[in-house]
Amino acid sequence: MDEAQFEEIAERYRDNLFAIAFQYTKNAADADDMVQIALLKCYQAKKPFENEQHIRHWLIRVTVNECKRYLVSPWRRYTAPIGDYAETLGFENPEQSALFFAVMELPQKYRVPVHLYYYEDYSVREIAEALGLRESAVQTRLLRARQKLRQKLEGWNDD
Amino acid sequence: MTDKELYKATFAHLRASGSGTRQEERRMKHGHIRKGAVVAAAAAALTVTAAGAANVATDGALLENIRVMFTGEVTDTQLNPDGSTTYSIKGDDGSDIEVTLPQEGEDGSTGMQFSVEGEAGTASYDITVDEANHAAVANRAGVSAGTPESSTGN
Repeated sequence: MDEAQFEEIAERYRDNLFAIAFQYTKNAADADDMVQIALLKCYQAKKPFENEQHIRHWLIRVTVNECKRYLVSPWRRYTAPIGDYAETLGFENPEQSALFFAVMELPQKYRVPVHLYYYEDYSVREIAEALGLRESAVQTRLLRARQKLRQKLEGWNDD
Repeated sequence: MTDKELYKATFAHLRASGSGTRQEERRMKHGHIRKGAVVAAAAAALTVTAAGAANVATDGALLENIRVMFTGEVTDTQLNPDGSTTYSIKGDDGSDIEVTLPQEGEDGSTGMQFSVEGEAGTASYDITVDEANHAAVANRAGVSAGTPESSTGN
């Protein structure tokens, strides 16, 4: 992979990886670090990527693994107030803001599957592979997460 | 709007550092830095990150805005008596570079923060230094805005 290819990949996936990492860290600075590490590993990877999907799945998986490592790391930062960060995001309407806070209040084991399902359009099988879970466990977590979101959000229809 | 559409619209607001508009909104000062210093600092920071200690060395700030990176290899790391750390870097062009990063403050941060713009093939990069941290960068990293002679090597 040459530098131009790497730059293109980094530009394309940086924000997606950040959003996934944020589901784990709830901290923008740490999420940035996770993304940097994932991209570094991508650059250093010797294996050829078959296609865009392969790169994307690989990057997401590496980001997930780095985030899991982060969660048990002594270098982990204290979580910053989520409200302060939310104020910088510039949500366009109250629905977006409410959804953001509702998702952030979910337990982390629910947040990540929800994000992969709703944002990355991952199937249950793909989520299970990325997170190292059984498909039945992913389905259960998605189900419970939706129940919690329904309780908190008016108009959440599970569609 | 379906739940999925709402979810995507909501979380599309999350942006990594270095992309999106948040960076542009910061108050910045423009300066100039030699390529060697940028490469070395980036490589050093990334290596430290890989070792799990980047947060101590730079509080993550050094990594935040570096876009030109992964082009040097840290060949040696030395802890100095004053608490700073000197990284010996082999640049991608074979040059030997040394960069000293300061000891972190009591809060674990060094106040280092800059972004890089430019092509990897150029001899130097224009950098942008966060105005609030400008003094810290100049003093601690030996990187002086407007002064290209900031690092040995290259």
